[in-house]
Amino acid sequence: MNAKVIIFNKLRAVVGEAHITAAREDLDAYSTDQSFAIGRPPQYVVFPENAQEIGEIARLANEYRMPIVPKSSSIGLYGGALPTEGGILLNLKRMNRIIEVNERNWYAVIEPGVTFQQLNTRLLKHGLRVAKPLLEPPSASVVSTYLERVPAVTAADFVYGMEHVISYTVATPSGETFTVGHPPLENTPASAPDGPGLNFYRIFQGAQGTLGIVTWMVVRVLPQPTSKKVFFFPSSSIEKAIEIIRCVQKKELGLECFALNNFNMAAWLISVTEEQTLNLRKGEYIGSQATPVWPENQHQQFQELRKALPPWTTVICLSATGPIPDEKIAYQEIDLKEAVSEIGAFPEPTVGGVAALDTLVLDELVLPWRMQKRYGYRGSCHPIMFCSPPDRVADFHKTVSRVLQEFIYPPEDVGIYILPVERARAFYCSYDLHCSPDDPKERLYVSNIFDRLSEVLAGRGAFFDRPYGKWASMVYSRTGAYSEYLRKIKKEMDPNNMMNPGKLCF
Amino acid sequence: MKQLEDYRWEAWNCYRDSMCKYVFTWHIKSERFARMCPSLIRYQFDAFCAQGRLDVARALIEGELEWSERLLDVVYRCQLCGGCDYVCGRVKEIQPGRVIQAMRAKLVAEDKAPPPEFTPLMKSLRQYQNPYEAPNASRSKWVRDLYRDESPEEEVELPDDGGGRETLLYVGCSPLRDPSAEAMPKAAVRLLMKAGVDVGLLEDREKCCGNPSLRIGDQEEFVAFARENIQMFNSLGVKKVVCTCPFCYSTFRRDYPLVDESMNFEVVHILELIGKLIEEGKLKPKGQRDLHVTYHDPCHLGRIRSNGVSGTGAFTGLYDVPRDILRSIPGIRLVEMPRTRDDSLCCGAGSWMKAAYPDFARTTALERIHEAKSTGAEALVTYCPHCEENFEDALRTSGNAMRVYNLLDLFLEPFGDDKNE
Amino acid sequence: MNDKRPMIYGVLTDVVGEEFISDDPAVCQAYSKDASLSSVWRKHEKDGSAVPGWVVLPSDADQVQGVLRACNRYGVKVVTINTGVNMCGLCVPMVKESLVLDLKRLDKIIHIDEKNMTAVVQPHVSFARLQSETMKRGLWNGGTPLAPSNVGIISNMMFNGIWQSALAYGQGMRSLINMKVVLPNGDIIETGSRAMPGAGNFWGSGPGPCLKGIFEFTHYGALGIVVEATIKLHRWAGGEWPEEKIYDRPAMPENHRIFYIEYPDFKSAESGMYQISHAGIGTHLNTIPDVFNAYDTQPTQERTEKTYREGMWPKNLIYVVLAGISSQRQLDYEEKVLRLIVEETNGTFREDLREMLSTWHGDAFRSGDSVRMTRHGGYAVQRMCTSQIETYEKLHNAHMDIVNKYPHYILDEETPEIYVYDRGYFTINEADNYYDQSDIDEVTHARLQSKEAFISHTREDKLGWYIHMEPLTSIFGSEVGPNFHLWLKRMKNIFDPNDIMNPDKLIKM
Repeated sequence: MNAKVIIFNKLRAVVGEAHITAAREDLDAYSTDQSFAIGRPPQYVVFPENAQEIGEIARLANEYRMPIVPKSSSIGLYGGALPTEGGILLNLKRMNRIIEVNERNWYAVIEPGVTFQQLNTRLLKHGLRVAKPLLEPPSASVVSTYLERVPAVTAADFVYGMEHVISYTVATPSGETFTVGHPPLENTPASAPDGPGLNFYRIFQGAQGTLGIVTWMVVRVLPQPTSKKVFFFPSSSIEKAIEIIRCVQKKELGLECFALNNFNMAAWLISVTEEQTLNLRKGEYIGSQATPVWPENQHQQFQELRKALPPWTTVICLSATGPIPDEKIAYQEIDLKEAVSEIGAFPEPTVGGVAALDTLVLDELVLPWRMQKRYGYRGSCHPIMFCSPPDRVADFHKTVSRVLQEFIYPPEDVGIYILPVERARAFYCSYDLHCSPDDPKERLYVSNIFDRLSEVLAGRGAFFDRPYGKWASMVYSRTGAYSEYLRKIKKEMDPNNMMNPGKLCF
Repeated sequence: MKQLEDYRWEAWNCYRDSMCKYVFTWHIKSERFARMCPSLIRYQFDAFCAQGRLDVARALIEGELEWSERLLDVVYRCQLCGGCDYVCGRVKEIQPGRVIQAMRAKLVAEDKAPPPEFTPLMKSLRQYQNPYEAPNASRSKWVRDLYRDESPEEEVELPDDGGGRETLLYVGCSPLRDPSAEAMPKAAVRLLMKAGVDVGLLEDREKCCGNPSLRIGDQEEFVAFARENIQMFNSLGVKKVVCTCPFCYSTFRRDYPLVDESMNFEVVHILELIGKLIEEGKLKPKGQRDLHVTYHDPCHLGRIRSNGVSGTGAFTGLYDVPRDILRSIPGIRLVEMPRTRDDSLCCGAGSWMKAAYPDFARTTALERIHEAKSTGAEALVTYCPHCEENFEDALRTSGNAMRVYNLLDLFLEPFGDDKNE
Repeated sequence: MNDKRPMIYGVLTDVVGEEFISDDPAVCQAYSKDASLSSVWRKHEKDGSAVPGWVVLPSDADQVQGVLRACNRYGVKVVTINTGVNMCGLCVPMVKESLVLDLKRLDKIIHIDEKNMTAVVQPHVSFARLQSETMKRGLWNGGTPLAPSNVGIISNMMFNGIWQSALAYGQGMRSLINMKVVLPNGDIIETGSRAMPGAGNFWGSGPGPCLKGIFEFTHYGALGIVVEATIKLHRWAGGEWPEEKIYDRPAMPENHRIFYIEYPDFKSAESGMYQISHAGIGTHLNTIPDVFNAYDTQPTQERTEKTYREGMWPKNLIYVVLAGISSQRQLDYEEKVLRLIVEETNGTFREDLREMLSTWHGDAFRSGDSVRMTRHGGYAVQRMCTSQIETYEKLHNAHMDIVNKYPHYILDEETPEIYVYDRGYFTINEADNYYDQSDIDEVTHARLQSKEAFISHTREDKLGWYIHMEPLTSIFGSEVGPNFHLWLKRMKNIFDPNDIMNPDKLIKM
C-alpha cells in the first residue's frame, strides 16, 4: 500500500470517514482564494472536531513530514491559508462551538471555526457584541481574525479597540499543547493576555498558522450600547479627513471612527437584493471562486452614488452604556461639534443624498457586512493594507496616486478605508485594487500594479505588519535580525517546518 | 553623638527606591534638571548616592567590607547637602546624611580617614581653630576695617565683645579665607547699624563653629568646639546668636543639640533679622535696579537648617525670607530655577569639597550655573560665602559670563537704606 | 575565571572607559541588594554571590552591545539594573563574579513627538522626568505605578507595571509600542515598525509574529537588554503640573476630580467597582487599603500608627478619578453617573477624609509619597495576581488565612489592593506584608508568609495567575500545559544560549 493511502487511512481513523477528503475537486478549491497569492492543492483536507484530534493529526504529519495548513475561515482573503507544498489542509469549521459567554466579565470562549456572525448572534442575547473589522466578512473566523491582528472598526478606542485576545491554547507541531494568557480557572474567570512567563500570545499572532494551531480562544467582547448616534463629515481631501479624525480623537470622543473615499462609501451603500443581502450576511457571497459581479443596474447605481458623494466621508459614532446613556451622547455631541468647528468642519445628517443613512450605518455597525459588496465591482478585490503614522497618511496617498498614474489605473477606482488606531496615534490604511478574475490579462496587470505599489509604499516607510504572500519577502528581506530570530523560533517550535511552510520568512 | 552602629536600622532598611537620586517626584519641573545628588551626577555609580552609601554602611556594620581607598572616596565625596535627607526623610524618616557622617567618624576613629586630601584642613582646625591656617587674631581685621570705613574721622562706638549684649553676631571663619569674604559680615553689620540694631561681636575670641571637623569626621574635635562655644555663649549671657554664614547657622541649630542640650540661646540667621526689619519699615531700599535674577538656596539655610517636619528640613527651610528681600528691591525680576527650595542642587562646596576635591566642587557648581542660565537670568543671587566662592571660581575657570551676587550686597548697594526715609 | 579577570577587565574598560567600570568591593556593595525580600534574606544569610564582581556603566546601545559581546565571549554572567525597584530579586546576582550592568547613563528622552503622540526613551528615563516634559505639551504617558515615579518607564512597563490609571490606560506594557533590544551575543533586534528601515517607530506589532512578546513582560532581564523604546502618549487635560504649596497637600491637577467612596462590606464594594468600571467613566478606580492610607498620607510612623489605631481609615475604601478630557461637561456627566452608582450600590462619599487623603492628588499621577509604605523597613508582595473584581473578598479571606498564622505586625495589610483595568475587563490584585529588613525574625516571617501564600494561592485557591517565580508546571500543571516551562528554556536557548543574562531568574537551564 502506498504512503498516500496509508496516511489517508490513518487520518480517517482520527477524524472519521465523513470528515476527510482527497477528491481532486475538493482539493482544488483550497488552492486559490481571493488574493493574488499562488497556492497548490493539498493532498488531504480534514475536518477535526477537537484539540485531541488536532494533536493526533499533528503527530501524524510529523511522522510523515507532511505540511499542515490550518484554515479557520470559510473564505480566504490574503493567501495566508493557501497550501504551497501539498500536505494536509486542516479545515477547522467543525470546531465551531461557543464554549462559554461570560456576560458579567465580558468575554467569550470560542473555537476557531466560530464566525463573527455566529458569535454576535449569541452575544446580542446577552447585551453584548463582538468587535469586528469593517472590511472582513461576517463569515470570517473570529479566532483567525484576532490572531491576524486585523483592527476592528472600534480601533480608535484604547480599551475596546485593539487588544481582543485574552487567552488561547495552542497545539504545537509536535502535538503538545499549552495555554497562554489567563484562561478561566476554577475560582477565577479569564482575565488578561499576559504570560505566563513571556507574552507568548504575541508570537502566535500574525503567524499565519506557521507556529501552531489555536484550538480555543478567550476573546473580549463589548457591551451593546444603549444609546448611540452617528455623524458624517464630508471632505474634499484626505488631509481634511485626517484632520477631522485627529481633532475628534484628541478629545477621546466616540467609539467607531473611520473614513472612506467615495468609491468605498458608494460600494458600502448601494442597495442589493434580498438574496444578495442574505448571502453577504452569511458570507457565502465570497468564496475561493470568483464573486458574481454586480448586475448592470447596481453598477449604474454605484456610479451615480459615487458622483453624488463627497470625495471623503468620515464616520464617527458616539456610543454609550451606563445608567444615563442619552446624557452621554448629548454632551459628547456638543463637544464633538465644538471641536470640529474649530477647524471649519461640520457634521451632516447624510452624504450623497442617501436617505436614513444614520439608521443604516448604526445597523451596520452592530455587525459590519456591507463592505463585502465591493467585491462585486469587478469580481475580485485586492486590498493593500499598511500602517502609517498620522502625519504620513496623506503622503502615502499621494504615492499611491503617483504609482497608479504610471500604470494608467484610474485612481477613482481604488476603494480606500482609513482607520485611526488608539485615538489616532497611528492609522491603518487599506487601498483596494479591483480586477476581473476571469480575465487573465487584467488580473496579471492589476497584480503587477499591486506588487509595484506595495514595494513603493514599503520603500517609503509604509509598514506592512501582516506580510501576506509576496509582502513576506518584501518585508523580511529588509528586517535583518528580526527575520533571523523568527526563523530560530520557528526552528525551535517546528523543526521540520511543517506548519504552513512557505509563509512569512519560513 | 550616635555612632555608626547606632544606625544599623537605617543602613539595613534602605529600600532602594532611588528617591535619594532625584528631586522629589512631585517637584520635578524639567527632565534636564531632575537629579538631586551631586556625587551621583558626577560619579554615576550607585555607591555615590545615599542608597549606595547606606549599603556600604550596612556592610561596614556587619563586618562584610574592608577599608580601601575607594571606600574613602565613596564616603567622603559627598557634600552632605541634605538632598537625600529631605527626600528619604520625607518618605522613610531616614536621614542618610547622618549615617554618612557616622561612617566618617568611625573611619577617623579607626585612623583610616580622612582621606589625605583633607589632612591640611584637619591640621588647621586643630592648630589654628579655623580651617584657613590663619591666626585667630586676624579675625578682627575686618571689624577694624569696617570701623575705619564707616567712621574714618570719628571715634564711633561699634559692637565690641558683646558684654551685656544679648544678641551676638557670629561671623564665622570665612573672612579669614580672603579679603573678598569680608564683605559679607561688613554688609550685615552696616545694615544692622543703619536699622539701629544693637549686636555684639566676639572678634578674636570667636572660634570656629566646628563644622569642618564634624564633616571630616573628627568627632572629638567637633565636640570640643561645640562644648566650648556653648559654654562661652551661655557664660556671656547671650540670648540670641545671629549667624551670617549658613554653615555655622545650621551647625548651631542642628548639630550642637546633639552634643549638649544646655544651649540657653536661640540661633537665627541674619536674613531673618533683615527680613523682619524690612517688614517693620526700618530698612527700605531706594531707587530702581533693572536686573533679572535667579536665587540659589544654600543647603544650610534650607534642607539642613534644622530637623523639621518628619525629621528633615522639609518645608522648614529659610526660603521665603530671602525671596521677600529680593522682591523688595525695585526693578529686580526674580525667576526660579527648576530645582529650588527643598529641591535645590548643592553649589558643590558643602562638606569642604573645595579643600579636598576641588574638581568635584567645580563640576557641581557648573551644573548649578547651567541651570541658572537656563532660566534666562542675568545673575545668580545667594547668601552663603561658600556658595559664592564656589560659583565665582567655577565661572572664572570656565569663562562663563554669569554674575554672582550676595543677596545683602544687592540689597545694600548702591541705593542707600536710610531708615528715616 | 580568576586568571582571565584582568584581561576581561581590560576588554570591558576599552568598551566603557576607565571611569565607568569598577571592581572595587565598596562600589560593588551598592549593587548587592535590591527592593526584594529575597535579596534581604540573602544578606542575612551572608550570601556573597549577591555582591557582583564588577559594575559597568555603558553610555549607549553601542557600549551595551560591546559589554554583552565581551561577557558572552568570556562567559561572564550579566545582571542588568536600572533603579532596582522590583520584588523578585531580579537585579541582584545569583552567581559569584557576575557583572552588574547599570543602565543609569542611558537616560535620554530621545524624542517627544507631539503630533503622533509618542515618545522615544532610553531605559533610565523615569515617569516623573518624562511627565515633566510631556505635561507641558498637553500629553502624558498615561499612568504611574505606586513604586515611585522615578523608576524607569521601560523597566516598569516590561515588568507589567501596575498603574493607578489602569482603568483607562491598561497595563504598563500596553503603552510600549516597540523597542530596540541588544541580545547577549550583541545582535540587535528592533520590533514593530522599527524592524523595517524607514518605517519609523509608530507601530507596535509585527512584522508577522511579534517578538515584542518575548521582551515586554517578565523576561526578567534574562533574554536581552532593552536600550530604547517607543511609548504611547495620551492626552493630558491636567494643565501645568500643580505645585505642592502646602506639605502633603498638593492641588489636584486641573480638569480632574477625585472621589473617595467607602463601602460597608466586600460584596457591595465589588458591586460598586463593577458598575463604575463597566459604565465607561473615569481614569482611575482602585481600592486603597486602610494600612496603605495610614502610611501614604502621614508624614511620620508615629502618626501612621496613631491614625490607624484610632480607626481613621475605612477598610473598604475606593478612589475614583475623573478626567475632563473633552470638556467640563464630561466631568459633570461622569460625576453624575458615579453618584448614581454609588447610591445604588450602598456606598458613601467620604468628603470628610478628602483633605487627609490629598497625597493622592500627587500619587495618583506621579507617585512619590507612596514610598512611605516602606517606612517600617521594606515590603513584600504576599499575593499578586490577575483576576476579576469578584475575587476581592476571596482574596482577603485567603490572605488573612495566612496572615493570622504568623505574628501579625500591626500594619500588615488586610484588605488587598485592587486595581481595576481596562474598563473592568480584569483586575490586578496585591496584598503586601511589611517587615523590618534588619530584623531576621521579621524577614523570616515575611518569607514564610509569601511562600505559603504563593503555594496556596496558585495551587489551591486558584484565584488568579501569579507573578511566577518557579517553573510553571509546578504552578498549574495541565492547565498551562504539561511541559510549558520547557518553552521558556527554548526561548532562553534561542536568545541566550550561553546563559549569561541573569541566570536562574527566568528558568534554571
